[in-house]
Amino acid sequence: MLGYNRLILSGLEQLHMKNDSDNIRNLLLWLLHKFHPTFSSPSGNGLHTSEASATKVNQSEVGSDATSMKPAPPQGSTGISLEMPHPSTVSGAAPVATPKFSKASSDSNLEVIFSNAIAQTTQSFNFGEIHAVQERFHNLLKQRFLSEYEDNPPLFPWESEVAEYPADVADFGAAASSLWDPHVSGLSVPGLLPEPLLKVLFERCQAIAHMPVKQGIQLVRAVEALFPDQLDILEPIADMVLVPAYRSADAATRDALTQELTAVADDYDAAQPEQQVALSMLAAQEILGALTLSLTAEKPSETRLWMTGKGALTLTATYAEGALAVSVALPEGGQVNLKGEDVEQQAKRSRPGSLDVALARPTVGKTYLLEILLADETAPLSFAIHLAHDLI
Amino acid sequence: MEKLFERLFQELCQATPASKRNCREVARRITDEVQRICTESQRIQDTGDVEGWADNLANHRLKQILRYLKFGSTKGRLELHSSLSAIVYRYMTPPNVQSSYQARVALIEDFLQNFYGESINAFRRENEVAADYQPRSSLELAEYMAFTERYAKRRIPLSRGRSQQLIILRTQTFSKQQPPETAIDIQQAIEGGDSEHPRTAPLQRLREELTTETNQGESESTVRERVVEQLMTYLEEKDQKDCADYFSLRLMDLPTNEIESVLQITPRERDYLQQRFKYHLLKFSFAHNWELVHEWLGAELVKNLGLTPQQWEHFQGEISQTQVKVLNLKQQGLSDLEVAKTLDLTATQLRKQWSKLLEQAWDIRNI
Repeated sequence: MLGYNRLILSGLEQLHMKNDSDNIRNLLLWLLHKFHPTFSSPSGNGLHTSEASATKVNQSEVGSDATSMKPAPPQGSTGISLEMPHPSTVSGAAPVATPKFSKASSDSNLEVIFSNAIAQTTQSFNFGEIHAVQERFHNLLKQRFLSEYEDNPPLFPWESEVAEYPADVADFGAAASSLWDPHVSGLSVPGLLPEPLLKVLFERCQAIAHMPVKQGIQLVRAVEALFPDQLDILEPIADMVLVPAYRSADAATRDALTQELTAVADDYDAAQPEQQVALSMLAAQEILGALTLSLTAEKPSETRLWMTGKGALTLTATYAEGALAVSVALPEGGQVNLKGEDVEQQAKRSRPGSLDVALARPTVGKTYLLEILLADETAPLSFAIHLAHDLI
Repeated sequence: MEKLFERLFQELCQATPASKRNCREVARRITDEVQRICTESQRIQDTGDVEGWADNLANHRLKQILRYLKFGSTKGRLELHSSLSAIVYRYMTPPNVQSSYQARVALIEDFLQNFYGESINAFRRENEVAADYQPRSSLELAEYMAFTERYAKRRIPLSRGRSQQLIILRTQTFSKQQPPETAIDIQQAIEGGDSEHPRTAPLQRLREELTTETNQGESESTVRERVVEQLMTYLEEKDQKDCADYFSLRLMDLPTNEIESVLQITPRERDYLQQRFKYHLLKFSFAHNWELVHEWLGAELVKNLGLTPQQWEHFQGEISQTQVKVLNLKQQGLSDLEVAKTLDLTATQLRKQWSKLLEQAWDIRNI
C-alpha cells in the first residue's frame, strides 16, 4: 500500500497535479492518449507528428431501439461540445490547438506533450461513444432525474393534473352511437353539430353528468378538451350560456337565435372560436339536461323517454318516503345499475321488459348514477339522478 | 398478420385490466404499425422471414406497453421523463450562459413539454386516430408512453450513412435556437422515414450542419474501449462504484460543478472522490492492468516500453540489479510465477518491483 501511495505521489508531482481540479482531466487524457515514442525525445522533434489516431464509431448506443429497422449505421459524432475541452470552443468547428494549462507547470516540455496530447485527443477521441461509459452515464443521470422530478412529475399536453387513469375506457361512457345518436340528434342544438364533434361532446357529457359540480363548471368541463387553446374564454361564455334569457325568450327571439346557431353550425370550422365554444356549450347544456333527472319536492317523480337504435327506453325515477325507486323499460335484454357513493343496486333481465332498482335511504342533495346496459353493448348509457335538498 | 393481431389481443386481455374493446384497439394499432414497418423495410423483406420480424417487433412493443402499465401513470411518466432527460442532457447547452445542472434541467423541462405535444401528434397521425385523440385508460396511457419512448429514439438518417436519434436532433435544434424552417426540414426527413430513400440536397446540407465531421478510421479504438471498460470493471471490483461514476462523468466532459450536482456532493466531497479516483487509476495503470494500458500507449514490453534505444540504455543504467533481471526474464516471456521463483522473490515483491520499473520508464518517456 505504501508503495502505491508513494507511486501516486511521485506521479502526481511529476505531473504537477496537486490542487488543480482540472488536472485529473489532463491525466485522463494523457492516459488515454496513445504516445508515439518520438514524443519522448528530448529534442521535441516529434511533437508535431500527427498520428492517424482514429475515432471509434460505436454502433451501439444507449437507448437505441433494440428492434430498430435500420442496420444501426455507424454513428457520427453529433456532440460537438463533447469533443472540445473548453467551453469557448463549443460552437466552433476547429479543435483547440493550444489549450491552456496550469501555470504551476514549470516543465515546458511536459506542457507541450500535454498540449499535443489534448489537441490530438480532441480531434480523435470521443469517449462518449464507448458503450460502457454511455450506459453508466445514462443510468447515473436517470437516477438523478428520478429524484429531481419525483415531487413534480411532468404533465402531458392534454392533462391538467397528474392522476391515475381508469382501467377501462368504458368508465368514460363511450357508449355505442346506436344507443344515443337517434335521441341526441333529435335535440335542437346538438342536432346542428357535425357528427364527430357531437360524439366527443356526448362522451364527455356522459362522463360528467353525475359529477357534483356547478352547472357552469360542468359546461367548461364538457367542452374544454375541444378547445385546449381557448381555455380562458370558456368560463365567461359558460356564464353567458347559463343566463336564462334563451330559454325564457319568446318564440320570435328563439327562432332568431336558432337561425344564428344553425348558421354557425353549418360552417362550424370557419366560425370564430367564441362562436364554436358557445354552440358547443349550448349543445352540452341540452345533452346534460337530457341525461339528468332532477327530483324536487314539487316534482318528486320524473319520466324520460330515450330513443335508441334498438327501440325506446323509458326511465322513471321516483323519490317517495325517503327511498329512491327507478323503473326502466328496456327494448331488449339488459342490465340496470344504480350507484351512489357507497351503494350500488343492480337488476338484470334477458328479454325486453321492465327492471326495477331502488335505494332505501339515499342522501338528499346528492347525485346518483344510473347505468343502462343493453345485451349486445360493451359500454353503458349513463344518466344522472339528482335529489334536490328540499326533498324530505 | 391476423394471427399476430389475435395473439396480441389475447395477451393484452390477459395481462391488463382494460376492456376487450380497448385491448382490441391497442392490439390493432400495434399490428398495423408492425405491418407498416415490415412492408416498408427492404431489409426485412430481404431476410425472407417477415413473420419472424413482425413477431419480434410486436413483442418489443407489447413488452414496453406492459412495462409502463405496471409502472402506472405517475411512476411511468417519471421513468419516461427521466430517461429522455438523461439522453438529451449533454446536448442541451444553455445559450450565453455558463452551463450548470440547474440551467440545463430547466431547458430540458421546457423542451420535453414541447416534445410530448409533438409525440401525441405523431401518435395521432401514424395511428390514424381522431385529431383530438388522447389516452383515456391506463392501457392507452401506457401505449402513449411506450410510443413516445420509441419515437424519441427513432433513428433519423443523416448523410454518409450515419444516423442520429430524433430527440437528440430536436435538442440540438432547440438549444441552438434554429429558425423554424429547420424544424420543418427535419420533419420532412422523418416523413421520408427510411434511409433507403434518396435524399434531397438541401436536406443533406442541413444534416451535415447538425453534425460534426469525424470521418476517421477505426484502428486502435478497440484497445481504447477495452482500457476504459476494464478500468470500469476494476473500479467496480474494488468496490469503488462512485469512482466509476465519476470517471464516466469526466469522460462525458462534464464540468466540475455539474459533476457535483449530478452526484449530489459538495466540492469537498468531490475533491476527495477525485483523489481516490486518481489513486485507483494509477494502481490500475502500473499494476493491475499495466499490459493493456501499455499496449495502448504503444509502450509494450516487446517495444522496450516505448523507449528509444538511447532512453532504453539510460533506463537500464538507472534501475537496480534485481529490476534488470526482472526486466530481462519478463522480456524472455517468463511468467510472473517463474520470474519470482528464479529471483527468489514473493509475488508481492515482484509486483512492487515491476510497478516501480514501469513508473521509471514512464518518467523517462515523458521528460
